[in-house]
Amino acid sequence: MRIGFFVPCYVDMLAPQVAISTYNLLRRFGLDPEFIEQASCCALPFTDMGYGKKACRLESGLVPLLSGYDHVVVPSGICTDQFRAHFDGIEQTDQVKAIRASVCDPVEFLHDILRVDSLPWAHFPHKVALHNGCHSLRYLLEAKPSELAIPDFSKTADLLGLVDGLEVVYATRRDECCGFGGAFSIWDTSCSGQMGIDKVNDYARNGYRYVTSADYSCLLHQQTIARKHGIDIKTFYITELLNGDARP
Amino acid sequence: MNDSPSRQASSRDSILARIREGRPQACPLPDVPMFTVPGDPSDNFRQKLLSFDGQIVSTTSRDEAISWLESHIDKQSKKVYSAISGYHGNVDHEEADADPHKASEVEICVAEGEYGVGETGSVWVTDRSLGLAACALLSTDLYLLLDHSRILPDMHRAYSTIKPGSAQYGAFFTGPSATADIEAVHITGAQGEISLTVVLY
Amino acid sequence: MRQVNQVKLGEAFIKDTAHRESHDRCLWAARMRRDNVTSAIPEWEEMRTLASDIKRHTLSRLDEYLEEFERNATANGIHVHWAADAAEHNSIVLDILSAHGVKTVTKGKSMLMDECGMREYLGEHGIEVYEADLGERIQQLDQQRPSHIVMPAIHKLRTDVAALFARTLGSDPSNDDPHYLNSVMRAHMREKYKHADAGMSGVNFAVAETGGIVVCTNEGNADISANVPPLYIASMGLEKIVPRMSDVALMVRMLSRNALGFDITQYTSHYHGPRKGQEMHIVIVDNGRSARLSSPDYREALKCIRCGACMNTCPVFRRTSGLSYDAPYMGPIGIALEPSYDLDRYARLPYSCTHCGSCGAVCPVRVPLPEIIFYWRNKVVESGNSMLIHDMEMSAAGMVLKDASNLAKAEKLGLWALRNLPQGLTESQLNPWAREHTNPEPPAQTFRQYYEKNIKPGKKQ
Repeated sequence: MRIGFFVPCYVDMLAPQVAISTYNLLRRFGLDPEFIEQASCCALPFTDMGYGKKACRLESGLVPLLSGYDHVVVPSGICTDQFRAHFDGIEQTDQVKAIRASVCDPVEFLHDILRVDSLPWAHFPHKVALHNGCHSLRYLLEAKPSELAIPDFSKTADLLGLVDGLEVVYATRRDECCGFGGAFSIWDTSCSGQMGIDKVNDYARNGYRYVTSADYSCLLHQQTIARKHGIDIKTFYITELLNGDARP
Repeated sequence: MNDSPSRQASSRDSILARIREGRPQACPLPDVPMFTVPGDPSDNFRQKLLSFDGQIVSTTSRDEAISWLESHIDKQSKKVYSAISGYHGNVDHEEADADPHKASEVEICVAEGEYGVGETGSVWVTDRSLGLAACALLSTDLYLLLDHSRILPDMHRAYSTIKPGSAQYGAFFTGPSATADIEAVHITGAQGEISLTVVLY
Repeated sequence: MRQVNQVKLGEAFIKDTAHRESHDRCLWAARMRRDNVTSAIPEWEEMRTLASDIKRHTLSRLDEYLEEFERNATANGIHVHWAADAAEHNSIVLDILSAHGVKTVTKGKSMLMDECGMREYLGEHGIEVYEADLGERIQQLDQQRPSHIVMPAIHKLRTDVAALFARTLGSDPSNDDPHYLNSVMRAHMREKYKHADAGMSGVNFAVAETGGIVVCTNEGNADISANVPPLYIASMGLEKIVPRMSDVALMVRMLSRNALGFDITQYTSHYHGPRKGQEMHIVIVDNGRSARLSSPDYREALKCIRCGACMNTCPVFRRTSGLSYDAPYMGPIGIALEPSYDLDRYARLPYSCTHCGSCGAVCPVRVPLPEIIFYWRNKVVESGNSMLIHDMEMSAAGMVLKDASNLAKAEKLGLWALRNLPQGLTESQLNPWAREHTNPEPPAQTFRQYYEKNIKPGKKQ
């Protein structure tokens, strides 16, 4: 199985531990992920802001880089959804379609492809609030969104359940957006900020100190808002917990 | 009049022409299945009606229902409009029909419910069963008589049985009027009747 | 026309903690009730698909269903009118009212009549229109638009309503009990009903096969307006058509459950002709709808049944309130609809969205709201309506992200700044991120650097 490893720009620069944990976790399963060094960005910022033409230029550059893998693992729910749902500014050749089908985030890869059922190295005997980022939740459907009247499921919680001692808990407004929204956090600072404050206060009221998500962009937002308001939370990308890298 | 019939006719035609030009590719019209609602329709009806702040009086026959009305409605001091046979109010029908504005004097209205719906606790009424609908709507206390064997289990069966197109005015009344427009505080008794009592027989 | 700045208008509401918290709490409670009642219905998701398919089919044969409706409604004794736009709608209504010598009208809620600016127009022509729905009346007395299509005054506190009613209706200014305020409204409207020459309402569903309309309300005001005066006028957007009464059964099961989390509206009323001695009119309004039908990208918005659930769930709407959209329709459906009327004026609206996707997930007719909002962002940029600052940011990002080596250089620079520049500079007001956040803590190395040192073939540990 040939595995490509695409590291989103924000992860590379601001949260390398996300990529490191994911990479090392994949190695534990005997895989040899190939870091796609020449790739820079999934084009999400452009698509997000309506600059489809600019997105196309990046997309065409990515095609040769992302081809030829059985799976391309992207440690970020929002970027995974970008490839799957919005990588459509360029001609949809068989090659492009194959890329879009091959991309998955670590939760999908571990849960659906590898069907992981044990993580003997992972131990974190604490309550951890699971924040299913909006893209992981409502676009990638990694868990049942609370809006839908469908049977309950959660791939993310299933995986976290394999971590020894870890208890999955949720904010009271469990699936409420935390207000990151990419450029939204810069475009509408007051609303984004208010949503973030509401989210971290929700954790604080419940006495939750640890927060995890399959989308580190949400966590970056939540963590820096919490710090600004003097609320003590510690955030982990999901693979930090699954690989046993998270420390209290 | 700045709106001649010919201008309206041309608007009609131009609207329809624009629609024909732009309408999407044909796609099929699915049938609506007769979904069912679990539970006993009568039990559901009671429970739902109560949840909408309606009241229920259970009697065993129409005669008993009418004598309940006789003993509980104060015709001496209240203006009572009755649209049912066997029970007389004190508001003159012809006078009310002549100008429904006068219905605002009605304090109590008694009318027939044609059907009940278990799923929602609704009672189907029409201008046939209400007499003058304005009287029911402007009354303070509304009493609807309902034959318990006419409680339908759910909305799908209600619509297929009732044929709402056959009355000029037909409505599902579900509990008394209500509002939550101020801070979402639920208040029973908004513009329409303040209390609704279903007298089941 | 000036662009609507939802961000700025919303910011004022956000800063008003008491109003924001109440607004957010009320709407979130509606969303929670909705989740509870809908999840108890095993066929709920199937119903959404059916409702969507029925609406889609109807749109694909809209002209035929409108003609069928007109035929049957006319046979029922209803006068049917067609209005190409808001102006024609208003003049048709005025003509009918004038022909009957109408001076006062009581009216149930109608988003369409708001869209057309009908009340103001009739007022200019000497006809007094009294909104009979409590929330609408509050907004009318306060000379504001409705802030929500189902709960028009939900952005107000009881104290606001008490002050408003004291000022306009002479009620006790010190009594802000909603029950008291409701009773003030009831007494006030009773006087209006007594003398109204005509009644009006909107339409929830128009049924082609029977030629009748369905109006769903809670307060009874629309039914009174329709049943008491000798003249009743209902206005409907042409997308309100459904083919069959069985379709109404389905949609009635969904509407109030999705809107407010209650099984049904208190009055679910069907009008198939005037009562004896009455005249009944229906005005079918286009006002840009037929043009929308031709666009595959946003025609799906025509499926909307105006339940308002997308507003209740929208995290931005709940914190900024409907008035901040400065438009007849607000929240996610407002963002989907308004730019099609006036892209210049509403060019910023599509950005008032985090793309959380919740609106699409609650929509009872599966309008793909997030996709339509994305679509409008592209249209804004293509039409040259984007903001200069966005163009500049995106050009800069384009250069940085052009390839991996450029990105690596920029990252080095960025991390150097985070590590070395004083916080006062990096978290100054020039950095919008720093208004609500601290800067992220700079890591010791990027993943690329880690990879170079530890993983790259030949350097594996």
